Amino acid sequence: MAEDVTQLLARWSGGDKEALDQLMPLVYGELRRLANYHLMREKPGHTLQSTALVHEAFLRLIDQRNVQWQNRAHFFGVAAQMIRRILVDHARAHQTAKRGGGAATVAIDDALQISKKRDLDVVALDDALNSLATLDPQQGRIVELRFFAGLTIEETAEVIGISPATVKRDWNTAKAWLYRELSRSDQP
Amino acid sequence: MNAADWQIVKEALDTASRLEPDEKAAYLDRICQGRADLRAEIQSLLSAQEESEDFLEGPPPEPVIGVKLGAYRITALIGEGGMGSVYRAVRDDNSYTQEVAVKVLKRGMDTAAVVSRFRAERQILASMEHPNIGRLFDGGTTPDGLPYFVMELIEGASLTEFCDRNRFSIVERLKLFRKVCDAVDYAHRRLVVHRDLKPSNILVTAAGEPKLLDFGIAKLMSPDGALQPTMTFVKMMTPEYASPEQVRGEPVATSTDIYSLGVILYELLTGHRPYRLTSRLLHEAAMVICQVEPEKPSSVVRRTEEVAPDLRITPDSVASVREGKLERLQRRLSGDLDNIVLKALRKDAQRRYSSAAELSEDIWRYLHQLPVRARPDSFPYRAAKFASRNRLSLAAAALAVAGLVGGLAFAVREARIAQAERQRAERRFNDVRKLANSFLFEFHDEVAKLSGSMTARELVVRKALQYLDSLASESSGDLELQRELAKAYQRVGDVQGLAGEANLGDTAGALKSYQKAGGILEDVLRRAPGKETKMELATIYDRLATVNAGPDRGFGYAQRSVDIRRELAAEAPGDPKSHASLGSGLWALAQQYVQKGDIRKALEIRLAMVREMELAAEGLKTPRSRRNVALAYKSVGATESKLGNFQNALQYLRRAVAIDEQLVREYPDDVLHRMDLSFGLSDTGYTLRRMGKLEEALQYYRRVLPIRREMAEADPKDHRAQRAHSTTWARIGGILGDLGRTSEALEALRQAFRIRWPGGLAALDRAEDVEVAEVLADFGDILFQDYERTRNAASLRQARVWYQRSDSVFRRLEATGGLSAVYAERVRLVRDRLPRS
Ligand SMILES: Nc1ncnc2c1ncn2[C@@H]1O[C@H](COP(=O)(O)OP(=O)(O)O)[C@@H](O)[C@H]1O
Ligand SMILES: [Mg+2]
Repeated sequence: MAEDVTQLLARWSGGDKEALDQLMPLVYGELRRLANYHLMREKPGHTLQSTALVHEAFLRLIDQRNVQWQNRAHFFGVAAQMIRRILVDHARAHQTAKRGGGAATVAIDDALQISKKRDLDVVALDDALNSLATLDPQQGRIVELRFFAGLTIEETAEVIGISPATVKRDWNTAKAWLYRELSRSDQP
Repeated sequence: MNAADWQIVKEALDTASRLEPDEKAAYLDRICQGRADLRAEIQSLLSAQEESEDFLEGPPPEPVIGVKLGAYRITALIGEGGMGSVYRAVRDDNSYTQEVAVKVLKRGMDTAAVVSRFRAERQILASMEHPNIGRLFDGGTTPDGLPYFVMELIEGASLTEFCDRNRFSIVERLKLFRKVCDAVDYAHRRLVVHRDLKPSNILVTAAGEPKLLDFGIAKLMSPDGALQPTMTFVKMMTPEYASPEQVRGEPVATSTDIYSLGVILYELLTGHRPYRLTSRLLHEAAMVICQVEPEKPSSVVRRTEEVAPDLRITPDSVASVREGKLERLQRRLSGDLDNIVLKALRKDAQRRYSSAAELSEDIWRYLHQLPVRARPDSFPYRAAKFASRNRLSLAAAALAVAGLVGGLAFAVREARIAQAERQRAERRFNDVRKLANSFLFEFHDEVAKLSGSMTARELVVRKALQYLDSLASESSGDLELQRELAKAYQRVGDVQGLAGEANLGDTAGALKSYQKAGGILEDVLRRAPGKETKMELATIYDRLATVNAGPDRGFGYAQRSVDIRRELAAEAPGDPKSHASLGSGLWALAQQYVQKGDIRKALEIRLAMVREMELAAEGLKTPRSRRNVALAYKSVGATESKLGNFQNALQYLRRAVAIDEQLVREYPDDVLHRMDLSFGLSDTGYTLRRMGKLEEALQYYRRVLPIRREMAEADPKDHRAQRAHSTTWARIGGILGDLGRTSEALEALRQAFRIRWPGGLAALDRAEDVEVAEVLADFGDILFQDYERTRNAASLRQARVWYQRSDSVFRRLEATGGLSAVYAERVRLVRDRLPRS
């Protein structure tokens, strides 16, 4: 398994488009499995760290000795979209289950962090992110990679193929915009 | 809000957030130009920005303050590094309180393997007791499953910081550095290699004692105990301190630490690092580390280096914290210290100091004015090494050039001083000359093929010119040597700025080099007419024609070149080389007609060129001759396309693309062919667009994109590559606009924009660059097209904002007389669409 995914990843980074088609279901499957495992065990209000999840999937799927470091960024690039889908689905399901009992949240902050702890409404974030992407698709992608896959500024730049400075600027303005959109929707 | 508004808001937000409060209002007034809605939007986002700093940012490093690890309780974060975070912690037994540092590794490392290697090494690591080595007390796994290490807590500053802050002189720095060497030697004698020596791993206490941190930790991180260029390795190491064998993924030994000590000493003495690795790609970093020779410490201190947008290392900044005066510092460094540092930094591990103790001792000798053991690499050694390579490498070239300059000066001096030994000196002189030529002729071609070799090539050009100028002044009597010199100047000129090849973008420098070459050859021809010399002169004329700024002088050169070639071809009918030669002369001449605006005449000449190139390739069959045929086809295709003969154009372009594709397949490592291919594809796209076949055109441009992007990213300093990449996006944007896909079109233009002008819009408004004006107008066009289709007033408004911006750049250019008549049409279009004031 590890071998297959590593090779697919290498082929895909090397420009083989078909490899991605084969790679997606494998990565998605693993992410889903891990996410379910973690989410099932979450007590309400407990944390789910999507970054940690993707890291874990990466360690499980990829043969660490044969992987080029750039491939890591590409892997995370694929995983970002999926993890977003998984988290949003999960939050939606939760929401329905609670039947209007207020928006379900997946806390991104570590439970140990006290200051500025803020539960995030993933569904609302997803909506806002969709709106942002219509204004500026690249910014949407940057948020996906930074937030859902936990890529650093540099890694994000690597995946999209733009400069870190641009990523940083886009990231900061995107955050401001999303923050404002979400605070608006917070209001009654 | 629409996408175009968002772009304005976004840029303004970014700029405004960096302004002082009182500047902000004025800035926003200017940017929003009376649009209250935009202004309100920006205001609201500015306040959101203040609160959103932590929003969506990753979780804090784990574990956090208050958590207990074994007997220790975390009290504060000290800092974060490549492999994890370091915390201050306290042992809270009731008995006593001891402060320690705890390093928790990042997620993503292979926990189980690290922990098991730690168990295996623990004994050895714990047994290291040395006043200059930070102790390692313990290790384990956090509740989250991350490995951690408990270490002695060192209160201090990094080695470089400490020395700079205290304005340590060179001697003081050397004394401190010797303590570091002694600590490393102590560990080596226990068979512990550090593998990650760098200033941040050497803290100096307030009392001035250096303490080495992280001994042995690197090994625990690496699979199989050997450092391999895996993700783990790169994430962990600061590649600038890594040795050639490390970046090659070879097993490491104590000599690896000697190398890193060399890097540290280099930085300590000069404030510069031997290499600034700008590329994040491992293989490029590896190429530099393994192949480029560092500059001598005594000369690097004269350099100004931009290490970050806000951080410049200047001769002044370096000298002021060392010896005060630059000259003094240079004198101190040159000679023995240069030799010592460079010996530690040798690529070949065998030729470095054999131990840290030996390095330390050599420094001791220097401090006591005893002769040091380090010697500069000797000329015969370098020359031999150089000659023995069949495929020339960067390292060989750098060595050879440095050796040549030195060797030549030596030979000349010797010739002057010792008449009796004249013959011997002359022989040496000739050897040097031969080496120089093989270097200049073979090396450039090899290096130009490597991606990302810009810096190395700049260095080579500088050295080569230095060498040539000195040779020229010594050798006017020897006609053979004169011709060789001319060839060499030509080569250097090519590298400096020959369009169509990878070059450094220095056309003025290229022109000068070509003129030197031309002058030399004209002189030789006057004294001894000959076929070969004529040919050489024709080549120079071609070059002069291409790089010459004034069109009329270029025309004269091109015509003279074609005359020589026709004459030579007539003397040798049927010879493929003379066809090739006439072909390339015609190429340059056609170019001149294009510049004069006589397209039909240009087409006529290009068709003649096609015939010559085809004949040449039939005989020669070399990749170069085939490439030339493709070039000829492309030039005819482009001309036909301009004249509106689209079917003809497509026919020629298709043939060109087929040849280039074949060459790309045969020579996948040669970027030149990929670049060639991209031109054929983009010309096809251009033609299809003009034919109204927009979807097809788009497909062609999309095939161009990955090639251009690859080129641009491979070498961020290659301005032509950046420009070509950006232009491709701009074309795609234009076509998308034609297709009515407005938002995609704008996105494509934004890409074009970001690539060429990463500084963003704010900088552009002040620009005096006609291309900026054009791209700004492109934005306007797309929105205007949208308005024409949808009659959406907002699009018109937006279009005008862009046109306004474009127009103000045009106006600035007009005011300074910097706007060529070629743009009259574009300017008119922009102004037509602006409301009359
Ligand atoms: N034992 C220690 N005592 C005090 N500070 C330390 C100790 N170890 C590391 N640090 C500091 O913590 C920061 C992070 O260290 P580390 O993770 O080793 O990263 P790096 O060495 O790659 O910079 C550094 O700034 C370093 O100076
Ligand atoms: Mg460290």
